[in-house]
Amino acid sequence: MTILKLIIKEIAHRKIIFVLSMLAVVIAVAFYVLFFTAATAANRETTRLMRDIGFNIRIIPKQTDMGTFYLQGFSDETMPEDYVDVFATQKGIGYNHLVATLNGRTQYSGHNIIIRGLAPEICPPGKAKSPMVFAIEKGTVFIGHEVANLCDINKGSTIHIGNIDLTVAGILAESGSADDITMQCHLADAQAILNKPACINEIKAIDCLCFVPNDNPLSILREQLAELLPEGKVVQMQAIAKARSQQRRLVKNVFAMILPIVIIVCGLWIGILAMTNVRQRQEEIGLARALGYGSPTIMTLFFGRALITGLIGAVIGFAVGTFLALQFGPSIFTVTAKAIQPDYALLNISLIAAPAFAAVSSFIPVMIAVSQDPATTLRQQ
Amino acid sequence: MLAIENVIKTYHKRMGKINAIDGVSLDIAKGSFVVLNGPSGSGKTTLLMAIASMLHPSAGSVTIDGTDIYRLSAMQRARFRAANIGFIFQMFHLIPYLSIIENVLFAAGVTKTQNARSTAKEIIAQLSLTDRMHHRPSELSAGEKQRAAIARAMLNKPRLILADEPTGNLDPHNAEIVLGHLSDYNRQGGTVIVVTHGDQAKRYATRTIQMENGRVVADTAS
Repeated sequence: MTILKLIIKEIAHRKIIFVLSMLAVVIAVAFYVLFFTAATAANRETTRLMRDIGFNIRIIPKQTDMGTFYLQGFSDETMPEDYVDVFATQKGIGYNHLVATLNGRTQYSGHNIIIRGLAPEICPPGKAKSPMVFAIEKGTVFIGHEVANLCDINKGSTIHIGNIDLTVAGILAESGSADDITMQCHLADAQAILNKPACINEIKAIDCLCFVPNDNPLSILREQLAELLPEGKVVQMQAIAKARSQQRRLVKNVFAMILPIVIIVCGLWIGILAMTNVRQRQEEIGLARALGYGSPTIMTLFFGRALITGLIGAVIGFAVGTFLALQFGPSIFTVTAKAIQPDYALLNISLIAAPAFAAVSSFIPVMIAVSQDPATTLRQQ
Repeated sequence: MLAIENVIKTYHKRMGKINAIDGVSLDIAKGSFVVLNGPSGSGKTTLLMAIASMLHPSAGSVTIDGTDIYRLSAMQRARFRAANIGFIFQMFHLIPYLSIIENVLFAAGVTKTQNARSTAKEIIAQLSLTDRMHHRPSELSAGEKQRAAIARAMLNKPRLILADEPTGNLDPHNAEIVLGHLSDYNRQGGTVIVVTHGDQAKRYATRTIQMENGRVVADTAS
């Protein structure tokens, strides 16, 4: 009779212990799969939500009066438009999205408004990202809610401003911010309206700088940019950066705290059940010893059982964890709900890790089984 | 066939040293049916385990057919045991999740005995267990279980069968059947050593050894 057949027959005989051991593996694997799937979803969700909130940093002209900047929300100074290309092509500073803008005050139909010109968004080479701002074609304009109301502007109409004509591509929803009195157009059109050719007064960047505790990345970035963009200076939107990194760390911390506890508890659980199994099989071990079976065979019997427990537990655990992630994930991570998918890489990892986990958890009981004195065992029975 | 020379087995207990076997020397010839008799605690089972190569003596040697078994490595000793010694226990020690034929074949796992299955069936038939061959131990009577254990002990055609209280859990009728089978094996040339504290086995014995306090106090040929 083969060792495998012996293991299978023993499992079939002691179903309850096997099922309980497997349950421990299922729980450990399900938690692992659920957490990784959830963590990925949470990360994706955070990225999307934070991206929608705004930029990490703003690069503005060096001479900017910060009082005016904070009061009106943009700089009165300008810097060369090609700064954005210099930034985009440099090596050593990471970013995910870059947008060059030109903002300025002007009047339209007797009302004070803001003109905001947006250059096409730049992403790192080979890393196409979904745009953070809506793309604006040259010759078109998006009108803020308040301006549209005051000046009775409708979508599809044409407005004349600063000696150029722009077609209204859309009316923006009320935002309760300066955006309501803003006309957003292509950078080139804004430069024409504000008569500031080839100029910008802000580069907005996201994921250019991540908040790292006990470090001062802003100063590093400032040093690097001082060389690259001598007429620019960096302002970090720290609250956003902090919120962003804190949310990411929160997910990781929860994951890092709960998963080890689950794994330790499940490991102990398997170990105790393996010990019970060894105690139940003392007579069998003693007999096997008496009949000449060596320690490697005894170890194979118990580790083989643990490996089978781990393999079956891995498959069921993956299914359960994925089911839970798919079942409850979309209601938690509503923005990226559709992106929550089974991650089959986790199944591969589980198929290797779970049997190893079950075997490690059974190690002490197996060593006890191997070291049992058959003479003592057989006399005690 | 079997030479036991000045074997001592000492256990260190809280109240001091105890010699479970205290300088036992015996020569047992091939084809003997030896009954080791004595009260509980006399050392007869300890001596049996020492002969079985499962209990390393504190001193002395055990030689089977010229092989000093405690000079072998653990692995060599296990193989030697599998090939040369058959065991029968009072509690049968059948594996509960295997059928009777599988239990018998379990003994061939190490020796890789040729035609093990057909041999097992023959022995099972000799022991009148054919109709129980595919049953689990829990479905058998005590007598049937012990006969199954005898079949397992005989599968590898060992030179020596060691039986520890083989009739201890059996009624007199089944005890006779079991002893009869051991006697048959002995008549075919096998050597049998039976540990018991009863008298029933003595009728089959060619030699009876009486033990007390770890020592041989009487050694009688029948």
